[in-house]
Amino acid sequence: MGGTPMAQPNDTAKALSNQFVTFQLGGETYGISILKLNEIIAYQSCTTIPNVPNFIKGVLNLRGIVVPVIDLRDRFGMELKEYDQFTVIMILDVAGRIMGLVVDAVSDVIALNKDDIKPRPHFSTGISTEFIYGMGIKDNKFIILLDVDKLLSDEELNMVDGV
Amino acid sequence: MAMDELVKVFMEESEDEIRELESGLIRLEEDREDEDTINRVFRAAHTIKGSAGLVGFEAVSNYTHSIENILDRIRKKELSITKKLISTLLTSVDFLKRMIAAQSEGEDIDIAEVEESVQTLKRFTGIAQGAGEAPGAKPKNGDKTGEKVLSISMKFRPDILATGQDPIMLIQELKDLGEILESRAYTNAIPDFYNIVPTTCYTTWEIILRTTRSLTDVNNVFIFVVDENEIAIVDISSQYKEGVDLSLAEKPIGEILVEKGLVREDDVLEALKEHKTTGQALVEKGKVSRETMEKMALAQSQSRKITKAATIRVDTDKLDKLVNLVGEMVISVARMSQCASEITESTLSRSLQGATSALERISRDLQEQVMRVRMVPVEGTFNRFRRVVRDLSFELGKKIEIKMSGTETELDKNVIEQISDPLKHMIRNSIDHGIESPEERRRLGKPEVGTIWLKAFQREGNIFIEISDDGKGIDKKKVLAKAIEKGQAEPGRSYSDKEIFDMLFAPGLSTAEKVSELSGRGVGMDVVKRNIEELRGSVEIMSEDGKGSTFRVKLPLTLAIIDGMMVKVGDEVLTIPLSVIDKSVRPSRTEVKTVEGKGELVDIRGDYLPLVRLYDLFHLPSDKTDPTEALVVVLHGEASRFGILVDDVLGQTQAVIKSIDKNFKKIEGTSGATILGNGRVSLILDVHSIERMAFLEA
Repeated sequence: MGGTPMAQPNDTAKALSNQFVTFQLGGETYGISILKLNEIIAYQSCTTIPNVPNFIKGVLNLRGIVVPVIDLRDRFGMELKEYDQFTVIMILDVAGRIMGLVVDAVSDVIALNKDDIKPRPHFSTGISTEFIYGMGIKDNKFIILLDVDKLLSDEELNMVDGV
Repeated sequence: MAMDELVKVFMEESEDEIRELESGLIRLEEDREDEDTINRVFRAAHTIKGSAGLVGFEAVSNYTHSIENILDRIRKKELSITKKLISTLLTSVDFLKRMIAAQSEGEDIDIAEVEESVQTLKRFTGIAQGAGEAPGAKPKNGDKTGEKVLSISMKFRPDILATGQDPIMLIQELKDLGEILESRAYTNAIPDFYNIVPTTCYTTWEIILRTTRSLTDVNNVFIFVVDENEIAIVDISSQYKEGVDLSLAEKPIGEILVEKGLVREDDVLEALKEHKTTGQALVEKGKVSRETMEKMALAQSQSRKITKAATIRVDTDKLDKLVNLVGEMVISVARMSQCASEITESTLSRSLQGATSALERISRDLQEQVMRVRMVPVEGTFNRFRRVVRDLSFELGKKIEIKMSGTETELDKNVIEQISDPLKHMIRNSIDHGIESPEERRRLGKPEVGTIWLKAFQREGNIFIEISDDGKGIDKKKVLAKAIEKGQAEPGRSYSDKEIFDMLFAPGLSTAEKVSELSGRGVGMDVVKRNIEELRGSVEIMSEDGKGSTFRVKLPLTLAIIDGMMVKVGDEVLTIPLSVIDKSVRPSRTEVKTVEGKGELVDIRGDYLPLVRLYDLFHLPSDKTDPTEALVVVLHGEASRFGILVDDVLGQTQAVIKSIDKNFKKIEGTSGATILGNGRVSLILDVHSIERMAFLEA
C-alpha cells in the first residue's frame, strides 16, 4: 500500500538522519528530517472534507492512497497565499501514516551537525513552539526544524468537528 | 528459515490442525465408528506434536503427546468413545490452544495446570505411558504406542561425496534408529559405464523406517545435509499398511507391482495390450495373486483419498496490495477511456476506444478474480459452531442437532472474521431461547432432538446466512410487553410482526425468563445488529409460534467494491451507495414545505420526507440552494426515509472503497472514499451517519 518507510542499511540511515529538507514558508526557512519525507509532488487541488478545521485542505489521491493534506501556513496562522507554480505538497510518512503538507517552495537538502542544532527558543507570548524541534544554523542562516511526529499527531487534527 | 518465521508457520498450521481436531472429535461423538475421522484426528494431533517439537515448544509437544495417547487407544479400539471422553478431549484441545498462544508470545505456562490436565487425560490412558500394550489388545502393524513409520526420500546433490558426506553412512545411522522396512535405490540416473564420474552421486534412495524415536531424532541424522540436499521425511504411520506407502496414489497399478518386484515389467506390458484393467489382467493370468492385487489397490485408493487440494498460504497483506493495485488499474483504464472518447479525430478515436474497452473488460475480470482470491468458504466458521452447539446443549440439558447447507458458499475473509461472533451470538440465542427442553418437546409432540439449521447461499449479489431452529418461536406478546416496560414501544398501539421482531435489536431488551450465563442479559442483539451493519449488511428475524425462528443475515459479496451513484455538490463529487437510494426527483415549488420556518419536508408522492441539504450539512459552498433547481435523492436510513439535496446526479459507478481513517480519521457522514475516473478522491456517503448528523444532533 505504498508508503514503505525508507529502508536503509544502518550506516546510511545514520548519515541521512542529520540531513534536512528545507522549504520556504512566508519568507522563513523551515526544515524537516529527510527520513520522514516520502516524496514531493506539485500542488493539486484536493477533495474537500466536511466539518474539519480549515487548515486541512482535504484529501488527494496518491496512486490509490487517500492522503489528507494540511496547509502549513494555515496551521501556523500565517497569512494565506495564492498557490503558484512553486507551491508543492510534501508527502510525509510518520509511523506508516501518510500526510501531505502544502508549503510555498522546497529549497534544498542540507546536512546539520549536532553542534549546528540549537534547542528551541522561548518566545514571550503568542508564538507556539510545540512543533519546533530546534533551530538549525547553517551559513549564518536560521532554519526552523520541525518535529514532524508532533505535527502529524496534532490533537487539533484529530479533533472531531473542529469548525 | 529464521526461527520466528518457523514459529509463524507453526502457528498457522496448528490453527488448522486444531480446527481439524475439534471438528473431528465432534463428528466422532455423532458417529463413533468412523475410522476415517479417528485417523484424521489422530493425524492432526500427531502433526501438532511433531511441529511443536520442531519449533522448540517442548511443553506443547509433550502435552499433545498425552492427547495423542488417548486417540491412539481409541484408534486401536481399546477405549470406547463416550460423551465424557469427548468432553475431556475437547477441554484439553482448548487447553492446548491456550498453551500454544502462550508459548508463541513467550509467556510461561503454569506447570501445575498442565500437570493437572495431563493427569485428567491419564485417567483415560489406563496404564501409565511406556508400560507397553494394554493386555488383550491386538497390536496392529506399525501402530504400537509411540511407534511410527516414516518415509524418507533422499536426493543428494551430485557432488555430495566431495563434501565429506556419504549417503551410506546416513542410511546406517537410520538403521540405528529403528527397523528399515524397505529401502529402494533409484539408479536410473546412472549413465553408461564409460561416462560414469566416480565421485558423483547418481543414486537416490527411499527408505521406509519404523522407529520409536521422535521425528526430531530422525531429522538430526540429516542435520548436516538437509540444507543442500532434498531430504523429505513424511510420517506415513496411519497409511502404512503391509508395506505400501503414500506415493502410490499417482502411479498406475502396473508400475507399483513392478516397482515392488511383485511382477515383471514384461508381464505388465503384455497385460496392457489386453483391454482390461491392468490389475484384472494380471490376476487372470496368474501373474499375481488376487489377494496381493486387492491389497495394492486398497493401498492405492487410501493414498489417493488423502492427497489434498494443492493450496498455498498467502499473507493477506500481499493480497490487499494486489487488490489495491488492480483497483488502481481499473481507475486508470477508466481515465484512459475517458481520454479516448474526448479525441476528436474519428478513426483514431474509434480504434482507441475499441482498445480501451477491451482493456476495461480485462481489468474488470482481473479485479473480480483478485477479489475472489480473498474469498473463503464459510465451512470453517460453520464447523466451529458445531462445538458451540454441542457444548451449550450439553450444558442446558437440551438435545440439539445442527444441520448445515451451502458450506461451500464463499465470503470475503474480512467479512467472515467479523461475522463469526454475531453468528455465534444468534446461535446461542436459538439454543437458549428457541429450542425447548426434551421433556417439553415430547409434550408438544415434537421430536425430542431439536434442530438448528445453518444455511448459506448467494442471491442477487448478496450472501445470505440463515440460522433457523424448530423451537418455540418468539413470543411476540412478551417482547412487546417488555418493550413497553422499557419505554421502547407505546402501549395501545398495534405493531406488525416485523416491527415487534425488530424491537429485539433494541439495546437492553431480553425476554429470557431467567438470565442464564449464555444469553438473556439483553446485551448482544443490538451489538449483533450493529456489527452486521458495519459490514454493510442487514439482519431480519422471522418467527412462527411453536414452529421456530429464523435469523437471516444479508451481507455484501465483498467489502472492497460497491455500486455507487455519483452526485455533485458545489465543486465536489460525492458517491452514494446505490443500495440506500430509493429514487431521485426534482420537486416542484408546491412539493417543498417548511415547518416552523426551518425544518423542510418534501412531498414524494404523498409521503412527506424530511429534506437534508447536503451542502449545509457538509459546509460545502454551492449555488444550487433552490430545491426546485436541484435534485432530491431519497435515501432509506436506519429509522426513516429522507431526502438529501444535491446539485446534480452524475451517474453510476463501481466504487473501489478506500479508507480515509488509515491516514487520517473517520469523517462523519462518510464511510470511506473512492477514486474517480479523473483521479480525484470522492467521499462515499454513509447513510446512517448522515441520518444521525441531520436528525439527532440538530
